[in-house]
Amino acid sequence: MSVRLSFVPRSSPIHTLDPRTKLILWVTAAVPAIVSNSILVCLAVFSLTVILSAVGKVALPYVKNLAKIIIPVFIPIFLIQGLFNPAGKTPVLFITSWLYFKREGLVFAAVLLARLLAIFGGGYLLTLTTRPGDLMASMQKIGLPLKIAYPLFSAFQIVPMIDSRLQSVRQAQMSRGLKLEDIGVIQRLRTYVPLITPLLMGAIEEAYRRSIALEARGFSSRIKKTFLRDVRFHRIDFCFIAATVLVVVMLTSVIITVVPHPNPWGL
Amino acid sequence: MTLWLKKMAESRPSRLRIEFSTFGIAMIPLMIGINIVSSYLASGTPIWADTLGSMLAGIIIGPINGLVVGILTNVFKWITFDPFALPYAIVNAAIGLIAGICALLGLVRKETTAPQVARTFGISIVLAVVATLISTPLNVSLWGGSTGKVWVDAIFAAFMAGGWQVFPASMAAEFISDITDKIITFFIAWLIYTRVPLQFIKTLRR
Repeated sequence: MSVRLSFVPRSSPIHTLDPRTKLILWVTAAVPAIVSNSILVCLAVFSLTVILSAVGKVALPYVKNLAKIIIPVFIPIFLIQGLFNPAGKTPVLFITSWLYFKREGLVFAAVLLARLLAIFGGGYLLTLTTRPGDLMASMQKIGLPLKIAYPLFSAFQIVPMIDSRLQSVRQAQMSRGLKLEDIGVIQRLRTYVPLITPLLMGAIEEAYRRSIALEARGFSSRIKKTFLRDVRFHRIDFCFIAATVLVVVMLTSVIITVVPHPNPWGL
Repeated sequence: MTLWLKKMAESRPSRLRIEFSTFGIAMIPLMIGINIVSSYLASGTPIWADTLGSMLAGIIIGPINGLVVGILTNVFKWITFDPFALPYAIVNAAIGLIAGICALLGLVRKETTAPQVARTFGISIVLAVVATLISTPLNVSLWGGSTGKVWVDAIFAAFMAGGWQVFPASMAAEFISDITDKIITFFIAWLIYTRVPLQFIKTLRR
């Protein structure tokens, strides 16, 4: 298992934006989706993030990865809500005389899907177009202490290391006669202790070494630290924020005023 | 509450000094790694086990450390492979915090006696209740009550088919799954804690 980042390196206007700008864009997009229950507003906001991802030249991974996570989760949700939602009345599709899909449940699931995409789409766009280092630097500029930012940042390096250690612990324990393959659930849960204990002891040792290395580099010193890659607001950032806020507000108000509520399709 | 925490901090100063030391900070990414590796080992079993590292951090180092490990694990998942992991950071953080407070109060000891087993059981039930109370509103508002594990969703569907409303059905299913998950995970965490050589912990508490 290697850590695969969401980040896709491209040269595009979205990639050059300050991460804080993208954070503001996300909040702007998520607020109407959280506040309103209208499926149209949610879809409009989500399509806006898709357009932005196209500007950032990451439209394909954006849509593909979201679909890859959403589809396996939403098939059972559509099944459960469509068949069993207590609000459901109008039958749509019969399986048997007593088990059938109901319109209200399906609509509920569709609204959920749209809302989820609208709320999280902006955040995924942020991680897709931002180098983790830049994200950390901007978070620290907002006021996140180094003592929180450092562990998160170094996790990108440490998680693959822990995983490769797990592989060597597995092999060592197997050579001592621990059965790890073709075993039942209970047996598999029992292997946790012999696998994780050596891992934890290794981790404590590693943390000692790292804390010495960190202190040798002045981790606890009170002097203001500088960054290798600096992030800064430019004119394009302000333009982007203004444009998105304007578009989101316009879209939302147009949809709310034009479409009668409750709207004719029962959505 | 704050006074009580302050009193507790004064009674065990060495514990809290560890938490904010460079060593405590350096432990955080390693515990995030244990969280991730543990949930990866749990694929194919009925539990999540994604809070093992937070619990261990809480028990071995301290409650604040457990809390930070819990939050950062989900932030890490959000940046790397799961764009929807961010809200569940609260659940993971609460687990780390509560496990840490229990250890600070002396409820988690390095002994395999009957009263300790009973205490471990009690703490895991508290953890399950807290996890259910926090994650049910999240599940209902984001996913309509589903959780993403097939057997939990099957229980949820069965409750709904029995005529329950979405929220109570989701809460019942979540509680059944959480109680299994937290009892197993917390027992594993405690067993690992009893097996870590005392020498390590002694140097830690110096």
